Amino acid sequence: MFKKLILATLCSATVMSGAQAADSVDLKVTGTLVNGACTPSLENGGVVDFGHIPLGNLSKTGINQLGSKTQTLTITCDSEMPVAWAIVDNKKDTLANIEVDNAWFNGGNATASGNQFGLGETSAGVKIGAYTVGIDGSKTTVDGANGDLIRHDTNQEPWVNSDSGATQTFGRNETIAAKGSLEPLAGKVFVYPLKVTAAIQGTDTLAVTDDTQLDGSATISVVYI
Amino acid sequence: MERVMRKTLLAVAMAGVAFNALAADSADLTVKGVLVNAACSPSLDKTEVSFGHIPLSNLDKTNANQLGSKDVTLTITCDNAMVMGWTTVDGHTDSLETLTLSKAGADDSDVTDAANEYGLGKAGTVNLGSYSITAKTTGVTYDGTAGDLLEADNVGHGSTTAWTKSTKGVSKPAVRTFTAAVSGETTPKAYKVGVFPLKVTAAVQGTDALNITEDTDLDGLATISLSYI
Repeated sequence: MFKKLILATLCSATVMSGAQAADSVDLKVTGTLVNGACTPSLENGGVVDFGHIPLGNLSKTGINQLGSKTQTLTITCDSEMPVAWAIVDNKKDTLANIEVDNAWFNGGNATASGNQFGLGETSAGVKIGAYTVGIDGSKTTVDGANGDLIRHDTNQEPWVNSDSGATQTFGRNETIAAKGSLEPLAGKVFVYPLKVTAAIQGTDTLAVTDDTQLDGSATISVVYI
Repeated sequence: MERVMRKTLLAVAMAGVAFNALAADSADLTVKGVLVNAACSPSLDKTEVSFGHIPLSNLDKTNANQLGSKDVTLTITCDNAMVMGWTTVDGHTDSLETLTLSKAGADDSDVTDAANEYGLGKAGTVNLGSYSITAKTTGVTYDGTAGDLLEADNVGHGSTTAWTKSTKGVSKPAVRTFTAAVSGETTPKAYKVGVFPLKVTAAVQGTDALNITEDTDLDGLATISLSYI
């Protein structure tokens, strides 16, 4: 009895879709116009500074881990709405794809170039290194309440939990859901504690003789969802 | 009809301008640093600060017992002049018993906050006490010239504080960085040799709380590291 029922369902489904072979498919275009806008801001004008680094204290041939600096991203909306953000690397062409240790708040290392940002070049055109931007998903808040960090990559639905808090340099949207949920929360103030972790190449490769600036630049933009 | 339409469009355009003025959709993150051709190393004139043998019977039973201060000098040496700071980490923070440390500051002020104290080891499960590491505000030199002691917290992080002339010199493990400046200035000075006289001030709990029957070593361990500024 049960088997027959399943068979019947399969048949009808196959037949129906085959028989209909429609010429058109509808695309619904939706959205919600809301009164308000959201503004992202970073501490200290968005600057993290790894300071003056004595090359003589660094490895000649190995990767040099510079550790992490913390930042805080706050997105403030003038009315309650769900909002996400994405980050883009303005120096992508200067990326040296080297391992960045302890890049994420779960202790994970970053090896994939999609998770790394460029740190600039020496005067001789050598790519200096890489940095990452990790999100502390255990401390993200919406209007003061702790929520889960969720993300989705471009054209990849639905939202998924972001365990590592790893950002990508293009095409990844980040937002916050209620604990245990995957539904973006509406709110006025979204807080994302971040850490910026950098690594640079061995000094033999860098071959720097004059003072050389680390020169990373990324832009965080709000994404209305 | 046409006129009305134009007016409407104008109004919309103006609304657009107002919107842009109110809210920016993006914020820039800047990652900075400077690679300098130099090598630097920190050194101490002694690797151990000892408070000697302390007879328990001479200590107070119920109040914190002040062990006083000991001096040690930190020297940072670079082969080329560059700006360089230093910071501290407590290796025995799990044994910290927060106590008032009398006259621990460079200005002889008391240190009372756990964030400024270091663990002094344990007797069994009992924390012995605490100590502080303070940079003296006099005796700081850069390449032999007397300078001012500067301090800042969370250097390089988004939450960094501005360099200020230090009055107490009280260190804050994993948070505070010190460096030297030309007297009267608040910008770090590049140097080849920076000298920072320190004082270490310790206290132990009352002997009732310690409940010690056998000889027990004070066991503090702090790491002083270069802090790239």
